[in-house]
Amino acid sequence: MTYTPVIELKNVTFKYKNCDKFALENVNFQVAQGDFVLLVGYSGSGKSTLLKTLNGLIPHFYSGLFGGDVKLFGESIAEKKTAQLAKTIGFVFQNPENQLSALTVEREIAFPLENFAIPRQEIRRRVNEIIALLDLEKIQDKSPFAISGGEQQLTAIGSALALDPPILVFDEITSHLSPQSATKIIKKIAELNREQGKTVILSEHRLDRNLQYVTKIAYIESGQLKAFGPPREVLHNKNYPLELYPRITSLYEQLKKVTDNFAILPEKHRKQLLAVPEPLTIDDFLLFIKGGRESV
Amino acid sequence: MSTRILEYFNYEQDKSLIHRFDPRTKMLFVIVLTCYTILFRDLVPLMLLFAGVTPLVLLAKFFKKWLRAMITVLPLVLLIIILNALLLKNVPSPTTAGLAMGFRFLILAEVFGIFFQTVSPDELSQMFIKFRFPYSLAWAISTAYRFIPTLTKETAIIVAAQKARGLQIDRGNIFKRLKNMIPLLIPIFASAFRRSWQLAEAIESRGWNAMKKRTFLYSLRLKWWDYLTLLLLFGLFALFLLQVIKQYPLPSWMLWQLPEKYELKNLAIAFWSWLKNLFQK
Amino acid sequence: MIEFRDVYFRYAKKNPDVLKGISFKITDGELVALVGKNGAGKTTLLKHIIGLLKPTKGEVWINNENIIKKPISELAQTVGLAFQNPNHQLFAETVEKELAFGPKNLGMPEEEQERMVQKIAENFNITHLLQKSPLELSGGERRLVSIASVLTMGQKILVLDEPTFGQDYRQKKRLGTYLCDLRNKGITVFIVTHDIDFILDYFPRVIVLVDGQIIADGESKTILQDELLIQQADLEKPILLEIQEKVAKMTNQEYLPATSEVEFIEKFKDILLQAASQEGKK
Repeated sequence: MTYTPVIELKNVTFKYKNCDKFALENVNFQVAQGDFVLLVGYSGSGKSTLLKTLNGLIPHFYSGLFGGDVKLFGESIAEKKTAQLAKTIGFVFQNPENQLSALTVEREIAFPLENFAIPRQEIRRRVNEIIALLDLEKIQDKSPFAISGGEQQLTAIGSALALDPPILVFDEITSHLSPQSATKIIKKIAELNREQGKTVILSEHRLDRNLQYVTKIAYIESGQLKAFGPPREVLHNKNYPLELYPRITSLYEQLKKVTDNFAILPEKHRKQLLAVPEPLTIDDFLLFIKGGRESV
Repeated sequence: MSTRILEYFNYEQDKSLIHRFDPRTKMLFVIVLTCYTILFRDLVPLMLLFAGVTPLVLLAKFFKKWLRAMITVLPLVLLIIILNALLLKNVPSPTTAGLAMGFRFLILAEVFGIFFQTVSPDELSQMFIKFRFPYSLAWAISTAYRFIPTLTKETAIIVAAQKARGLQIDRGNIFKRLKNMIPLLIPIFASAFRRSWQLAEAIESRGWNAMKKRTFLYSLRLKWWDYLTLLLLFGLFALFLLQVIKQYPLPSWMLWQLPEKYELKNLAIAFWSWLKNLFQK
Repeated sequence: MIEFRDVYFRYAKKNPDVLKGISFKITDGELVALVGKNGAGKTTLLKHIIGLLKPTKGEVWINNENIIKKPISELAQTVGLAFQNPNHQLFAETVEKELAFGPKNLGMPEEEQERMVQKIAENFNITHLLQKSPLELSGGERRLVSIASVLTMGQKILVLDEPTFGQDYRQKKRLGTYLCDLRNKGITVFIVTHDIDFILDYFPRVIVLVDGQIIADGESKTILQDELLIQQADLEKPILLEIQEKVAKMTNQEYLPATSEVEFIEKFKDILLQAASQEGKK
């Protein structure tokens, strides 16, 4: 059975104009339908650049040298305009305020539909649908500049969803938000992934509470994709710095070190503990502790 | 004073009666009234016009703001009146002409004020669209307008941030002061530039200009009261044109001038001699 | 030393009070974090410390002096304030010049300026960025540079607004370690942040601001365990504490959490050993 990956990057390379370093170097990966991809990397490693190749902002909006091919649903997007791709890929940016411009939240959500000359009745229906989906009823008539950062990002998400694109891309959307707002929004995104089958790519610094939704991690360093695969697989990979692991994994590794790989425990327990998969989330960790307490 | 004046032209979201009229109707209103203000040069018709327009200020729930702005520009208006009263020649009564000028200013201020107070930036751009302006232009204008308060806020933050690093903008000679503006201007411009860039990326990603024509969720539609008012305004405009062409003489009561002894010049002379007498006694 | 004595503040006569009776005292060398919902008045409070805003009622005292009459330029010698968004500060041609801007304004002699710039650049591992234009840097790097450019001024009181914003773990660790170091030199550090793990790791004291009032002021360890307070301040429970809470529930044991990583590891090592020995006894 062959399947067409929803997103495919082949040898994608990019160098910004007037820059000596490559922002992206020979990036290859494939994303399947329904995947929830977490993009991680140090600041300046090329995360934003990578995301922007997905809807053509790179190379059309930024001057520089572009090489390689980006395919969405098997079709190359090299000749397509970013605006045309809005139906396929919804993009939400980091700064909530700088991506909104309409008079009210409602009109912001209608904006992409208007751009594609959707008939008014249909726009009205779709906008109401999205407002209900994202619980924006209370603020639908407010100005996008009179609401909180979290609400602004929700509005941006609503707008990106308007055309019902199968792919959603989020470029560090929680960095301007408080922890509680951030968690709420990522939960919402996970819902969209789970219940509507949206393929999601999210770049994010905060891992600890989000790893539970992730199906693939992509680790990028200095413009190169150093690791890509299911979370546990990637986190095993030597190329992935411990510092970027979720806190929980880091604690686990430290625990292992301090107990000499559990050697200080009786053999039975040691075997048992090593059999438990490496914890990535809080629940995993609890399982691990349980594993150390129950008899074989 | 300058902020007062800027505030005066700021749209305020309100549900006053005037807000319910289509901006195109209001635009015609501004045009017709401007024509009439220019047409009349005599005091009485202008006073009548003023009396006619002022109730609309109340209807637009604009009175307090208007009053405050008028008080702010009062010195300017008085200056206009006095200069005209003292310096005009070839006119039966300079003081009357001066007063007429003052009223012209007030009427125009009222009329434009009502327009900007009751027309939102979005309505403005909608109006441009109906007039077949390219949508990009209309959108750019209303977005720029919408970002003015954001830019103002940001400038305040930038000034605060640099002051906290020891920047002093009110010391030294003119060259030093200009040099000290650089740490302010660069972040301000960089910020504005960054915002435009990011906004452009965002709207592009949401299909901007994807199609040649676009639809609108909300668009302007003329209501019956608009049609009625438009009819009235066209009628008035026709009368205006008629008057311009035919130049019918105005009834004499409209041409009333201030009696000679109340002329500002004469009043000034009278006052001066009274003062002199006082000192001579 | 920073002292707020019953400070009230409002932006205009008709506006409501943003700060409602703020009182606290921070002594030299303390590391204090201020937390609270967005809009609770945190940034407003910070602005009072450097004199950008003056209280409508109450007094702000810095180093035993009422600062009401002091100009900002004078206060900048004692108090260093780095705002949240680095783009509101960066303007120089090179990072080096950016770092030297503050010291220059303070009238530091050139050799001293250079020394400070080099020292701070080394400490933050940004020496390789010195000749670059600040506008070329990534978001996290800019943040680092904006904080560094206040640190070069060498003030005794440092106030930072959301210093970990946009930083990855590596950068945060470096920053946290550096700030901790400063307290040994008697420098007071006061930050506003949402990053609860950062607070637990480096800041022993936390002040909670809700609706313009201080509702808690004390040891981070204690306060950050209080569910209600965390909720009110729009924060999330620190991972260390959440894990231990759940483990305590699971094992039906008392919840006595370790609040540092080292303690945590020790505690869990003991838990594993205990479980094993109990098994052995059966």
